[in-house]
Amino acid sequence: MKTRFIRLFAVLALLMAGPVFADVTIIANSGVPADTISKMHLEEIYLGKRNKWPDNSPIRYILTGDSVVHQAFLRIYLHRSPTQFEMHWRNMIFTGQGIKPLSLPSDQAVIDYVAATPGAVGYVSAPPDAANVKTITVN
Amino acid sequence: MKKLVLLTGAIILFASPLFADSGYGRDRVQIHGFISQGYIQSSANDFYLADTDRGTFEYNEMGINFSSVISDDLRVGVQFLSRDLGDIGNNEIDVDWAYGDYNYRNWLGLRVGKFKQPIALFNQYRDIDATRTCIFLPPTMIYREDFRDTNLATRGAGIYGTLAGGLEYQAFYGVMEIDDDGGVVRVLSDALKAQYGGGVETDVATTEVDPTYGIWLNWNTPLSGLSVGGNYGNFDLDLDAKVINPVPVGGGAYMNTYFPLSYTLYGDVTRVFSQYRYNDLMLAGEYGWFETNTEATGPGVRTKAETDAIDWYLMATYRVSPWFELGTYYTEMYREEDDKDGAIFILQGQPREKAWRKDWAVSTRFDITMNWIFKLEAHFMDGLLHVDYGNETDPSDKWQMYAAKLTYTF
Repeated sequence: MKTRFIRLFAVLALLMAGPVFADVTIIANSGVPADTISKMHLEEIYLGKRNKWPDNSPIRYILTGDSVVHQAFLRIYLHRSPTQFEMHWRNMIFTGQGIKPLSLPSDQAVIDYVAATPGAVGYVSAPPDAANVKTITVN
Repeated sequence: MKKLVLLTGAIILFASPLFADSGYGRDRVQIHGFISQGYIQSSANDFYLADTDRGTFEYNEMGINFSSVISDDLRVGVQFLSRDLGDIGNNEIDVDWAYGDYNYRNWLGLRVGKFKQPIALFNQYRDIDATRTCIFLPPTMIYREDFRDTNLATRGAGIYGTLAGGLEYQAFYGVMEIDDDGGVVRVLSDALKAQYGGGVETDVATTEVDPTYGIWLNWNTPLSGLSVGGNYGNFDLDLDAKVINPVPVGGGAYMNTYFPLSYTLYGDVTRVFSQYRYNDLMLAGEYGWFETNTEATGPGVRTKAETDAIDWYLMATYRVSPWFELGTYYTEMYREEDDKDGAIFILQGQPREKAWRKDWAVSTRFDITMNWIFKLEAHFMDGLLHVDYGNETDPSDKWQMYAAKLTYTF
């Protein structure tokens, strides 16, 4: 019985490295005091553990409802599936440790929000050509 | 009962489309809740202070919370919780947590009120069935369900923060709530009955709970998804117990005699833990030391006892598809680090298997929708630590437990 389950988990582990089907660009409001961000800090932001930019201004992080871009973002930068991400935020919500960020339905909605909101950061499928929005390099 | 109906009504109301989870904006009150019903059946013995041998539906949880962002730095919230597990909870409604959270900097935040104790990997989140694969967390000293009400929350103040290099910390100082209907009192009461036998009754109440403190550290390593950490905490509480002994006085009549006992319990909790997440895979493990000093005093009675319990577990979960997840864990727990074979129990004429419990669990989770979750779980047990086997002279030390649970979350 135990051996069967060990084999099953081994097979599942081999299958887990799924392909990512979308490009992801990190964008921010042009007033954000950073042009680059580390992968670790980006992960901390989206897990609700880092809430302020280096100048102590508030970070307003935004999700996209575009499932392909959302999934790609989570897998590339957070190494989590959408379900794991959802579970993390439920943990935060049900212990009072955080309020889940706003989710917008499309790239354009994310770009518009980021352009209009000081301290905003989000992710879209391609670098935008929009006023008041800049691309953030992740290193 | 009336309060329970009100809580259930509130959950149904706020779970309706009118209050549906349509967005997570700031400057508004967010309302979330959950309600679950479980069933537990064991092949032998009773576990978690419930009548599992016969199968029991006395296993449910429901909660509702309200949170609001007051400013960029300040957040407040409250959660009400009702639960039942055998003799514990009985669906009374409690404030599960209620605190203000001031986030001064990334490296320093302050929480004041009643909040979840940061212990090990999952203690803060153990009420939230919808965020894990298993129904029961590995039943270690920390995650044992009968101490859940005690281990879970503290009234006081705490600080937290994220430091450079992926290091997170939490620390707290406050008072644990020891409910006179809760697990600690019930376990002590059962221990007294077992110790004195002869049909004695007990009346145990908490008289004093000294402030407790704890610190929790977690390092998110440069290998993305891998974290390692540890925590230390302690507790110190006094309980008064009254042992009621009915003495036959002839003619079928009994006269109750009483004698009081005072208990002092002091404990240290130390744990190290690690977790690894990679997309749909999650691996976790913990190792813990639980040292307790107990002193009982009463008329002609003065006893001291020290125990150095240890436990560990390894866990793996994998999300096979958007609607199906598999999980398994193996845990071992020993009442006394230096007596893993139970020699002390043999000397006491008790089953040596009371010295340990080993549990191999297999879990399945079905996400029927985003809100509805159904779980099935099997436990293959070896040992009798924290197990109620009644008056059996030769209790079954290799036994199974099965559980099912349906949860709705919004």
